[in-house]
Amino acid sequence: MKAKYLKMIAAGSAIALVAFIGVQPAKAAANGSITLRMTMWSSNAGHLALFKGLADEYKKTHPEIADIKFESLDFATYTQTLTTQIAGGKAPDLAWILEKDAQQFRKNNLLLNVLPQMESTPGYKVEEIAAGSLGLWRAPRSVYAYPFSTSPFAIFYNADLIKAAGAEDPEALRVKGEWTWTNAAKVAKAVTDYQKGNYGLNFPTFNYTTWNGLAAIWRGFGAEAWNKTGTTCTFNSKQMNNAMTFFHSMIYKDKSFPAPGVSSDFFAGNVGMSLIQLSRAASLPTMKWKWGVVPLPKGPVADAQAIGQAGMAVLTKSKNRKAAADFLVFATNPENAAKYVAFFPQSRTPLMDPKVIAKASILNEAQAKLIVADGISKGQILTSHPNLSAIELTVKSTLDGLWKADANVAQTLNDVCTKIQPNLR
Amino acid sequence: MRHWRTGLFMAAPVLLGFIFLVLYPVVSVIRDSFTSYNPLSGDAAFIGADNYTRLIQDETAIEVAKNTLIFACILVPVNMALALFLAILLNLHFRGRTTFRAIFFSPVIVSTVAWTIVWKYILQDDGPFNYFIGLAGVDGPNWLRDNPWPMISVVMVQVFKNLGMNMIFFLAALQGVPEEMYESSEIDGANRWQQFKKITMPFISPTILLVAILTIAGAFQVFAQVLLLTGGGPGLSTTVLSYYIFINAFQIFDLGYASALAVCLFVFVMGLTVAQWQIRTRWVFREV
Repeated sequence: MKAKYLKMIAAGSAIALVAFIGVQPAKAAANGSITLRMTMWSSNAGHLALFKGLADEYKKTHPEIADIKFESLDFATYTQTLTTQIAGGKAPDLAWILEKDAQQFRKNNLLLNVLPQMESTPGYKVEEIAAGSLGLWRAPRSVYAYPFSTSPFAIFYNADLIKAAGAEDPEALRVKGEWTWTNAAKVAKAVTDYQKGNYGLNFPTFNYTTWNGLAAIWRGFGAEAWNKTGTTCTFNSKQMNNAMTFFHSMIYKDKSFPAPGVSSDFFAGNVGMSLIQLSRAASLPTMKWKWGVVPLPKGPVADAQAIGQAGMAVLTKSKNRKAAADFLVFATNPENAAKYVAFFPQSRTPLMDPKVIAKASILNEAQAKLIVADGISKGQILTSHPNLSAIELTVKSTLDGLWKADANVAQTLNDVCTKIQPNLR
Repeated sequence: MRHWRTGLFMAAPVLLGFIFLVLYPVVSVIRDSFTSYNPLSGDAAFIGADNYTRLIQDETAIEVAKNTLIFACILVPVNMALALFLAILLNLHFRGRTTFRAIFFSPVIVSTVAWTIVWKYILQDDGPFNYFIGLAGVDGPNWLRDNPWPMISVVMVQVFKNLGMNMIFFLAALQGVPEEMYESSEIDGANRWQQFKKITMPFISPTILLVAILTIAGAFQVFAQVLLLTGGGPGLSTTVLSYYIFINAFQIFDLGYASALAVCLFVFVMGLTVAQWQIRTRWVFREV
């Protein structure tokens, strides 16, 4: 009797399972729909509204697209989360790719060549995209991503806080030709007030992990992580030693840069200067305090500007590559690229005009020329390497030796080179 | 015959789960450990025992193995001693003991991620913990950056997370000790320490074995706390084996080497568990 009931339960379960499995594809087929997913490291409401607007517009003319989802991931662990998704067989269809990861992703054949779609789309105007901006993403007859943000680092500052501290305004220093890292450190020191929790300078995207962003400082000292061919480590150079000694003394001697584990928020009004990009400064006009912006200070060796770049790419492991590539081309055509200018400096030449930038962004025309147009023309994109994954964590964990008051800077930088050199060859 | 079929049918869900969710992944990891599998590109070539040879020569792996041993050697005794101490206290009859039991058990039901993130905030250099000890005139270190505190912090966060579970095991065991044993020993003139040593410990020794096996195995698999609290740093000071396996698999994309590391960890934990099981007859009451 029991066996009879068991058989009935088993048969019932099997029928239910078959019915469930049978219904699923039928439902999908009836909609005839594709859902695309794009990962990004921003959760800024303006950025999301921009992309959702583009998605809604695209869906109107593409009924096969059921939905386009935008997945905001934490910036600090963005690449790690993305690559874990890819390795786990859950690759998104489209993704924002950081400049530092470009070579590595290309080496692993993860990015789809979208040049055919770009060229076959009337009015796309590939030739408008500045050749320098495409450098990391281009190979002969191939384009692996659209660089939707080519954003120079700059020093945004709280003019009221600096004035209250009796320090000289960075813009005034720049006009006098005295906007140097040494003077920037003096301003930072003057603003720092332990009792009030005020700091002179912060660098939110660095956060003692994303070390390649420090190029914004070390390039002014004439330093680089490795040589141009990426085969020899130069962390142990005299220039790098000077740069890191300077930065270390800001953290531990002047205490004007928040030490590891100390929180600071420029937008809360208790940080004098912040080393950020335009894309992260959109909320400044809503602040109650007066703000300003200047390019990166001159170093003892060079007036070097650093550029962070983000590409929008279709992943080769996407299950909807064609649809994803079509959406990418739509989202980055001349008309839609113009919508990005409010947040992200563009690499299409007509959109690099300071007048266009000033009209769409928080910068005025003079600032747009100084920060964006000149920044892009003078600057270099942040450090990248085809073997970055094998190098990145080693550099990070070794540089941890620097982030303490009694650090031996020269020894730590030597250790970095000893450890990463085998992976540079 | 019909009984055999029914039995198999009833066991099928568990058997299938074991085959697909345990056996298949374990076999896959062993297979991958002999390849140069890169999960990003999908490339995987058979390279024999190269990953194992490399592991022996990998100075980082040796340092990480040392960290893992240090972590386990602090965590296991501290966790077990505290859990037993709390269980003995909460086995006494006093007002509000149920509330205290619930308080000490509550971290077990909190998600590890939420628990760790809260502790990360508490232990920041300018966080609440340093603020409160600062009120008492103590200038606290940067718990997650200044050695040796990061390792101690990771251990303590893990200890308090799982303390409640071990406490409940011990509490259940303590309540199973026959009351008359204590009464008769009291008549014989035994003091509290002698009662604990000669009656309590032997009676709860099977539970001590169980808790030891679970805590040791858990100690070698700690991952989320390291990832979220310190990211393995500063330097490599809190990088333990399971985190190093993750780094190799999903950050360096050397899944072949990560698999070799995972196989070694598996064999080591298995060996340790078997060894504990084998020596149980020497100290566990009623085991032969």
